[in-house]
Amino acid sequence: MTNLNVTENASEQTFDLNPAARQRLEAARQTTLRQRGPFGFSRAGLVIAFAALVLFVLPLMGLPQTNARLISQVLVFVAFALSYDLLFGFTGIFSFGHALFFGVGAYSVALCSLNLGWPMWAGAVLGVVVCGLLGIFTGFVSLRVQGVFFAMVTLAMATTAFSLSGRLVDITKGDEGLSLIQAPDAPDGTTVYYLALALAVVAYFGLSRLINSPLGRVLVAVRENERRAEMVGYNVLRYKLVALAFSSVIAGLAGMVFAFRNGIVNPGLLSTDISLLPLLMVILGGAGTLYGAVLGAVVIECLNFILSSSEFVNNVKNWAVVGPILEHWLLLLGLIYVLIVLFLPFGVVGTWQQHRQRLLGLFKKS
Amino acid sequence: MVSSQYILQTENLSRLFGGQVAVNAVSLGVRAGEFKSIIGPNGAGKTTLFNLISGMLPPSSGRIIFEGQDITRRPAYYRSRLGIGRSFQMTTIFPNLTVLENVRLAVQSREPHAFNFWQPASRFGGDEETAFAILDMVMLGGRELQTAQTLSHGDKRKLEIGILLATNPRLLLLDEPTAGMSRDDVPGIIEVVQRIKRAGGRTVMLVEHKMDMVMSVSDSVMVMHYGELIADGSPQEIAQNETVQSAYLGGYTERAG
Ligand SMILES: Nc1ncnc2c1ncn2[C@@H]1O[C@H](COP(=O)(O)OP(=O)(O)O)[C@@H](O)[C@H]1O
Ligand SMILES: [Mg+2]
Repeated sequence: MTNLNVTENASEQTFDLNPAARQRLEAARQTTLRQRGPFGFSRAGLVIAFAALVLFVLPLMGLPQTNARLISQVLVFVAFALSYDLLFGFTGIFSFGHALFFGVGAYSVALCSLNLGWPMWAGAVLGVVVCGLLGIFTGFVSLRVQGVFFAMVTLAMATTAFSLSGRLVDITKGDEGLSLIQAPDAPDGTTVYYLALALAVVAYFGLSRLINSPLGRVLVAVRENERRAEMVGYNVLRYKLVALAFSSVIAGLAGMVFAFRNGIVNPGLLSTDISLLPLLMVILGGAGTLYGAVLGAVVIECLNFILSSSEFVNNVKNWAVVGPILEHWLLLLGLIYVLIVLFLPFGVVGTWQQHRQRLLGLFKKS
Repeated sequence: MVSSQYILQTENLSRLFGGQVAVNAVSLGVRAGEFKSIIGPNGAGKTTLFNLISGMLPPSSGRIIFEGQDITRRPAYYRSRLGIGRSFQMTTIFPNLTVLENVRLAVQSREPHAFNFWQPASRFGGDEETAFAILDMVMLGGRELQTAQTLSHGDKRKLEIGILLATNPRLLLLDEPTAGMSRDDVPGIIEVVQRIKRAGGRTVMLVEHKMDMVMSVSDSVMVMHYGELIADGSPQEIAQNETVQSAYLGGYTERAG
């Protein structure tokens, strides 16, 4: 048996690990090392790094502008969904108003440059700070109450911001929106494209690091069992606030890049539709995996693009029954959502992980 | 009065739920290093008393003093950091994490790197080593990489005790560790509790219904009835106490002393 000697300080607890246990420890460490591929990337990390590399060289080979704009939009939502996964999938915080940070990020840049004459980068820095503080503030007023109440408070805050942005016409020009005349973009749209790519890549690999760090593991512990986390001495509220701060900063940055891409900032960025999107993306892909969020964002944004393109809308009008449904993009989203909750409660990635063996078996037989 | 021979004291500690008094003016003292059991019928207020001491619930009135410090209004995580570890009647672990990660997280909680958000947790290998050693002590050696929720009832309970030990508490509150266990699981849990006692250096408060376990392992036994502390003494004294007999023990004498 291993000896444990009690000391004053927990970190000074001494022990002798018996040889058999030490052997198991070494074996466990080897297994973990083997699961990581070249350069310490996980398998999903390798796929995403490769995809990022392809996206990096695409414009050099002449990428049509419409495609560049589509990819920029997808990448913005990849970052946005990732920021939501940190909250929902890893920390277990259910927010219903993530558009708040997306929209506030976008408005920060627009207001600073148009009303104060600041350069873009200064507005962006201020936006990051504002989003981080707003995230902490939101958590502070609402995280003391549990679960659904937090969701309701975030919904209320996002809705308030949405209606303020529409009403404060003197400052925000209301529904008309603010045009970012000096949006940083080359004529072919590549500046925004690279900004969006950089943001998505930094968000994915930054969050990968975060969730494997000691602090990230505590966030997972909070999701798993808040009471137990508290009872081993973690100040749960403080860790949740940290998660909120990281998440809202990334969401704010996504909003900024989206503003650059669109060249306009309007109340739509703060709408409930925008709050719903990352939730849907994360649930579709699989919460708490990061690459599930990436997958969900890619699928939903591409679907959105196809289904709302004018050719598709014109064709689909003539289809019986499904036509009217497909015409209404949001209705379709709702339908997908219900189907996922019913049939893939752990999302695409989660379901794949659970049934990998069986699904692979199906392929082999046929 | 605050006296240093006690690691934990409560003064007139009470807790009401609506009009009902769950804990009624309990004043107790637990000596450092003592193994103290609390017995009493269901609904006597034992779990509520633990909730008050560990900070899960605020008391309606009264004071709690731990190592000379008034902790009555301190949050639960703070009490854990002071050295109070608590297990629950319903096992409370991190179900989807590995057994190792459950304990490693508890070890990490006392380390300055708990707030590190950039380096991989595996960089801090000492945490893993301590976790392996503790899992050995609670007889879960070899199950380190299993997901916690796939453990048997009894092993989950051992894991929870391992999580507590990982925070190196000076006072352990164990709430009915053998409750709901299958007959096969009970001896293992009793062995773990006895190992904690043998290793020494910790104060233990144990709520338990298994009287032979209570009588053999305890230095002293406290009896609760309708929220009140009705007796406190050595196992022999309690076994022979007539009030206790009528309230709870129902003639338990055979293995006392
Ligand atoms: N959270 C609560 N809300 C309302 N009543 C409670 C709560 N917790 C305990 N009680 C009541 O307090 C009394 C003592 O319960 P408890 O402390 O669980 O007893 P024991 O652990 O000794 O079986 C019981 O009557 C119980 O119904
Ligand atoms: Mg109880």
